[in-house]
Amino acid sequence: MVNTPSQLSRVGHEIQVRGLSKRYGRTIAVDNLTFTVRSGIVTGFVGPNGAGKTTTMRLILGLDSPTAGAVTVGGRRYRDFGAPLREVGAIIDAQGVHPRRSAFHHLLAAAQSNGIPKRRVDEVLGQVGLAGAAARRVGDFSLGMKQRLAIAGALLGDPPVLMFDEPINGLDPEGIIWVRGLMRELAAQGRTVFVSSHLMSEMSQTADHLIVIGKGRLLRDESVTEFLDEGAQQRTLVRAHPQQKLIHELEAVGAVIEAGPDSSIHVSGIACAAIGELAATTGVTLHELTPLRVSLEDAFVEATHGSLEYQTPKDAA
Amino acid sequence: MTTVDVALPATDRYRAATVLDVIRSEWTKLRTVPSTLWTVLVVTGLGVGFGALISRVSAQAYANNTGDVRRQWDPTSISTAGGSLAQLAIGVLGALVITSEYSTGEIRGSLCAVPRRGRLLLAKMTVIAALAFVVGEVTMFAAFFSGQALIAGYAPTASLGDAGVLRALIGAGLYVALIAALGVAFGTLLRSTAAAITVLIAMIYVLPGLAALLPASLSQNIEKFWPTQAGQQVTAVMQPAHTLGPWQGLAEMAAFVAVAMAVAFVRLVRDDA
Repeated sequence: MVNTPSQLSRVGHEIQVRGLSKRYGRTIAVDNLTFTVRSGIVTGFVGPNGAGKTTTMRLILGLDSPTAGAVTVGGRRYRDFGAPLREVGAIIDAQGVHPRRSAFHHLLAAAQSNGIPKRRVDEVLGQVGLAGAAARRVGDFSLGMKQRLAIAGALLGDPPVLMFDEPINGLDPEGIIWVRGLMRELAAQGRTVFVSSHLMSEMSQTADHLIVIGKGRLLRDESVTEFLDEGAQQRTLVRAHPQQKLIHELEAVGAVIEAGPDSSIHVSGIACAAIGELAATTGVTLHELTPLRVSLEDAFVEATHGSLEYQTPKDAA
Repeated sequence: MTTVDVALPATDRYRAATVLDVIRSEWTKLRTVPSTLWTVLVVTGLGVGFGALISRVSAQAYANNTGDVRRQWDPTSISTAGGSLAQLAIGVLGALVITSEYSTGEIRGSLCAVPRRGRLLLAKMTVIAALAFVVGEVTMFAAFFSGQALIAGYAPTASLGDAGVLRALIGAGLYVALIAALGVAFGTLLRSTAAAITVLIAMIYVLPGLAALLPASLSQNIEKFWPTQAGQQVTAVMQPAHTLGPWQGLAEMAAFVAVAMAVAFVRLVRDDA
């Protein structure tokens, strides 16, 4: 990949979160978080609702003050930026727009506050596909259009760091595909892209790296591949006759057996093919041999289990 | 992907934003919401219309009056009486400049764009005070001239050259500029349009009205120093004996607004958005 001069300058704009904590009254929203968001990749910020994702982003942007710890972007505190929109483009609340103001004037006011030329307003409106709606009141926008407007606002200063809080909320399928592509493109240009979502499946489509939190605490900080491998202990659903004989043989080779639905068994700790071979050599008839795939979603539930603030009772599930 | 680990200092690529940039941005915000135009129309309409009504009614009654009423006849104050109502609309507009940002959630975007919060507050105050001053002056001069025209023929009129008249009209613009700034301060402190309006009404109308019910020795002292009443002295041609002088009163009110603004600044900077 060829780096243009402007891309060179984007490298190294990391978000560094160090020992960050935030307490609201008695509630600990963020609990001693430490991680680094690197440039050139899409970093997914995942956790159940209420895990502290938005609070962390608010702390990065200086909207709230941390109870302890520190955050820097490109080595500097957010409030020290001479023109912050040129350093960090953020969506923290796509709904946070005056409903009576036009999309154009909303962006113009933001551009003026950071000394960004007016032509950028038209450029970003075109980039997000809102050029035709520039003069319309934002109050008449759909959720998806507001999301696009918020993205336009984030792109206004052509910043090396982008931070999106739940960017696909309210977008139609075409919009979702567009946002995914945009995030990948921004990262490929060398920018730092930090995206939060409570949907793990969404992150599997876009992110290279994952930061998983639950109840304000860091649960995982690893690549998507590592995250999947960790959760992907192979499990296989087996029905056999005589089943007891196979269980005995499986336990002899160190496999773990759990009861499955309808008198089946779940076998883990041994590859699917190995179970079939074992059955053949011991003369057991297999009625079913189904590998149970571990999805990113399952791995996520596994990782965040016990960190949920509100949980479905086991029986009800 | 090849990454080249060269980071240019960000400031080499652009100029830092200035207070003027933020003021320009706040002016754009103010002029691009319909409520601003409506408020300006209400202020002008109340100021000129109500002034005209009172001018004609008072002037027609002048012939039947004797003694005291004639001695205290103040055609300037009568023609600009609508200002006492119009000032509330200005104060509300001042509060809305910040409370509408809290109610819509826009404040988060504003603080991300301008993390130096004092600058944001200063810019908001400057823009709304400037608008209030211009609208206040236009309204007061229009009310004065139309009022004098309606009084003429029924009662003595005032002219700009009369003692205190020009000062009262210019002072009225300065007074509403301070009211607008006070609205911003209350709005920043309370973060709620309804709460800010309530406090403004209490400050301008209710509390002075209640104080007037107290024994004269007490009520006159309160009236003398109550910030909005002291500030209003500059808008009157004649001052009662127990009040501060016009500029003295305005200075006292300005000091009060400065304190309110300082408290608002501390709240905005220290508290989470």
